[in-house]
Amino acid sequence: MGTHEIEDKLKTMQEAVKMIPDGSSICCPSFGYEKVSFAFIRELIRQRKRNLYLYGSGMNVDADMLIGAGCISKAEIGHIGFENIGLAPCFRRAVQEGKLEVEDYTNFIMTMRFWAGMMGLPFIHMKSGLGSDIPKTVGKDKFREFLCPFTGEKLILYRAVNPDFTIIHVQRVDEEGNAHVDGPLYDNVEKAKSAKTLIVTCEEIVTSEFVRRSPEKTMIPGFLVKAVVEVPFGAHPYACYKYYDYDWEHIEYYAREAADPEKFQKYLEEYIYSVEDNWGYLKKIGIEKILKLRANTSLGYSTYYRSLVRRKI
Amino acid sequence: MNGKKYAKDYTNLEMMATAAARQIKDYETVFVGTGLPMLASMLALYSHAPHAVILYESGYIGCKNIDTARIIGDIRLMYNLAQVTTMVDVLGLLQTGRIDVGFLGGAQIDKYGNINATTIGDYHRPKVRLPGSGGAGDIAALARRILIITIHEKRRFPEKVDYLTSVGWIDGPEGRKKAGLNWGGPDKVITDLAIMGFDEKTKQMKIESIHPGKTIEEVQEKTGFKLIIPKEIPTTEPPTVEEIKILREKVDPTGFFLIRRLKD
Repeated sequence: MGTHEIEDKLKTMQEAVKMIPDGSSICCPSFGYEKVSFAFIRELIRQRKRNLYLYGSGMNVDADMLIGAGCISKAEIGHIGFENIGLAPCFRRAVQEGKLEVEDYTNFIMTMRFWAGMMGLPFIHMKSGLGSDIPKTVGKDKFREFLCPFTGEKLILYRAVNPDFTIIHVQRVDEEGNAHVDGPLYDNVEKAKSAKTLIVTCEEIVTSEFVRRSPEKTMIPGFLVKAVVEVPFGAHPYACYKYYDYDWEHIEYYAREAADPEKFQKYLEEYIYSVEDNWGYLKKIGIEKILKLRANTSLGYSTYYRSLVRRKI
Repeated sequence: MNGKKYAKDYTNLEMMATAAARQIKDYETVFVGTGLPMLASMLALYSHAPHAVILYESGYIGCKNIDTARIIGDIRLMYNLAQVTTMVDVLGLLQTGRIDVGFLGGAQIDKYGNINATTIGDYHRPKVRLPGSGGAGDIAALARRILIITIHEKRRFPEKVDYLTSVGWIDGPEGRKKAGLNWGGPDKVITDLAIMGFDEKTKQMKIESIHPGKTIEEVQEKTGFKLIIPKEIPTTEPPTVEEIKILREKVDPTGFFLIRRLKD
């Protein structure tokens, strides 16, 4: 029998990360630099986890940092890059130097593999991948070519994914562990529900009475949640819709530093190893930046970037 | 001539964005990938295609954001939006064939319009590890037609892509059908030099128009395979004063795309 009381689920970040043994498979849902449990990722790095197996669809700085810090030995991905900033430097280095094994899928394939996992199915059949090199480079036990028995259409079967642990970040969790979310869900529900163990980090703990006033925002019911960690600004340098914006300057700073292995180590030292927890990290970011990133109530994001005009044409 | 007032002062990037935007027709559904497609699709929306439905794989449908989105999951896209849904839902729309246009950038594009976004060199020990498919492989396979926008450089246009991430015509007119894809395929490739299409018979890339001030020789010189060059090639219509104004003042007022990628 599971427990449904928050008192039993509420953990410190250190305790929650200790639940993850070396060698586990993990998924830290990320999309659009938003609602990623970055504080959890930083604690994974701080506790020097090793040989983790990473599952994800569209990933960015989060995956790059975990890979650079040496936490990941293999990854099944849709994408790891910084979009309009450029390539992911640690990911690029690790693959080029043969230190990271990768299986490439598309975002849709990964999303549907999690969906199959969530639905208790062993595989999903899709059109994505047809004609491309993707089926040629994934593991032989991960896909099958397949003809539809009803229509004769060519399809590809992909193995379901069930990570040992999924860690999501949401705006609010209530006393029952219900995860209450504003804004996009991406493929976070599929990633959360396909996991064998689900850990939720949140901006704030709220009353169940509050959640029950808008149950349509409950993304995950409390009985599926194993552990809860309260960690304000826990997604920084990413955004948390209606709470704060992404820290674009910090992300660009990271991209520059991570391009050089020595500078990347200095970054980890400065922002992760030398501080005890997320409060220590936020002190480094500074109160002024944090207030600038605070979401404008009428927009859901900050107006800070409107003032940063690169230069007149 | 046609009564349009053309801009005199514009950059190569603005020419490219304008030429690409004009490929989108009003009322079309447009599934947008990261990078320059974000810029061009918003220009289309705010100029000649106000009823175009802009979709992102992050789950945004009917975007009319007022601040420039920097990434495809940018929460700026939540503002003034018709629907936010899940990735399963929005990518499922592609698989049912209900998306008119897929709009992509690309690291490498070959003569059949196949795109590589995965690895340069050997897959297992690459010379350059790129980000991987993301949603691009899905969009290329499943949208009704594909537009590709990219800077025109020789290294970006090899004879054959090192890794086929996103399907174009694959190996010719029967390529997609043989693979099991019943619709779609690349329609136009828009660069800072020219607009290219695909020959009806061979499905190989051909020049369709050259941007003002650029030459056929320069286009061929910066392409790693032999382009089909028709006898008569028109000059691309330059951007209008209005289009440049919309780009600079409405689509990207802080210069996020327009300034940082300027290579004139």
